[in-house]
Amino acid sequence: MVSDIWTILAKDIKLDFRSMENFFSMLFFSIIILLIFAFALPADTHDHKTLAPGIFWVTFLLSGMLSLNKSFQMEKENGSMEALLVSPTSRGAIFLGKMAGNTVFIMIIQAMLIPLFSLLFINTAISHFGELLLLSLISTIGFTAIGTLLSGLTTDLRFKDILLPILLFPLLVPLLLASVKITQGILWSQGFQSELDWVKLLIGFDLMFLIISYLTFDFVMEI
Amino acid sequence: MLATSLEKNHQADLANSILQIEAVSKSFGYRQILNSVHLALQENEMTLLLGKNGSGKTTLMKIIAGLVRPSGGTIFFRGGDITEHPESLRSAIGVISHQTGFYGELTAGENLVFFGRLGKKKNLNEKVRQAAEKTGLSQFVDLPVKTFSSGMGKRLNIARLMVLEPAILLLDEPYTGLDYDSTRFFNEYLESFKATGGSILMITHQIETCFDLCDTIAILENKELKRSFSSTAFSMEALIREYHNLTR
Repeated sequence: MVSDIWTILAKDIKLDFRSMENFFSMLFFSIIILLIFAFALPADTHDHKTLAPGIFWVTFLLSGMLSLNKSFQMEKENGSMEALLVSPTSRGAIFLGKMAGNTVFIMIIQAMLIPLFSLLFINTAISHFGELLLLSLISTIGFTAIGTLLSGLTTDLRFKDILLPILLFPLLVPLLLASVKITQGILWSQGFQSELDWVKLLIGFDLMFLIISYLTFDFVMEI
Repeated sequence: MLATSLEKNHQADLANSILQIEAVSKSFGYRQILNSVHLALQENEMTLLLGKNGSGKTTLMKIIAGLVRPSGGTIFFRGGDITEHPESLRSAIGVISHQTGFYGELTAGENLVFFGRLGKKKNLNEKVRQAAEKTGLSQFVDLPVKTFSSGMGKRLNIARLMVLEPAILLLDEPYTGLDYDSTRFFNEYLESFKATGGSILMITHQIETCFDLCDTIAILENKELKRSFSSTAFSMEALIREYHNLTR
């Protein structure tokens, strides 16, 4: 199973970085959102310190949607999904491979956004690069777990681009709340320790949706 | 009537078959697509599945491929019930449908290696090289599949089957987009596949293209597989007449 997950992940990364169109569209979209927030907010560093965590995670959610939207697109275009589903690999391995591909893709974008976020909103954020990246990883796992499942569910639907965020965003409220709170703790130099309850909630969210999505992906993929 | 005189012994078919479908039904909501379908696929044989558009042929094929769950009935593979867990069957089937089923941005070689890895094949690079050589794609192995014509896509599909070495082929309108040479090449492959013990289930409206390869012809009608004939006992013209009457 691990080799199947790796095979699917490697294929997705190869496809993403061969065309680069998804990568650049997601990167530029994220940069534009951060710039819009930077222009829209007053030039007051105190306000920025309060609002910046929310801005960081709203940018994450919006740009992450692009990754999820394209997740099954390449499978659907030439009927590759059918070929993938009739292969002897388990549906669980397909789900985990696709989810891992989304996670890697989003993490690369996050790693590139943290310096810009620091430059535009809080200069000291770059000094917490490692912590912010670790938090991004924990949040991204929950986001891609439920997002990959819903992306698979909506990929054949007519209004999938609208339907996916409508289904996904309400489910992500706990993840968003926890991520913003933990980011506040990190940016105010209190680290993860000050927000342990939110960290537990975030990890619980990850585990719950990882298990649910893994178990239900088989039914979602019936075509 | 052609139907009654040439019907095969269904029970005997079931006993010797590599794949058996017993009383399989499928409904989408209130709409019933298949009702108690019985079908048996034998080794060294090709079964041609005929029926009107919308008669449920593709749904039946998707059920066999494990892509759609049946609402009722049982599927046996080499004697074992695989209805709830079709994973063991997936390693034994190869599918060709309307679409190529490849990733356009990847090269032909990368696609073959990808599906070969998922199929847990050993000596994969050598198998891919041989398959590309046999299908005449050796010089195109490093080209992205998006640059391939539909005929080359079908050849690449055959190359994938050669790499995966399935025991059962499920073919849904495989002749679509093929020119004369590609059709002949494809039929030669099917003939050699049958000769090595393979079993084929094909859906096509181009009866004359594959008639010589067929051993059994099954007709899906009113949600049921009502008739099953041996192809040796009647002419292609008679079958085409019967088929035209059915689909009129």
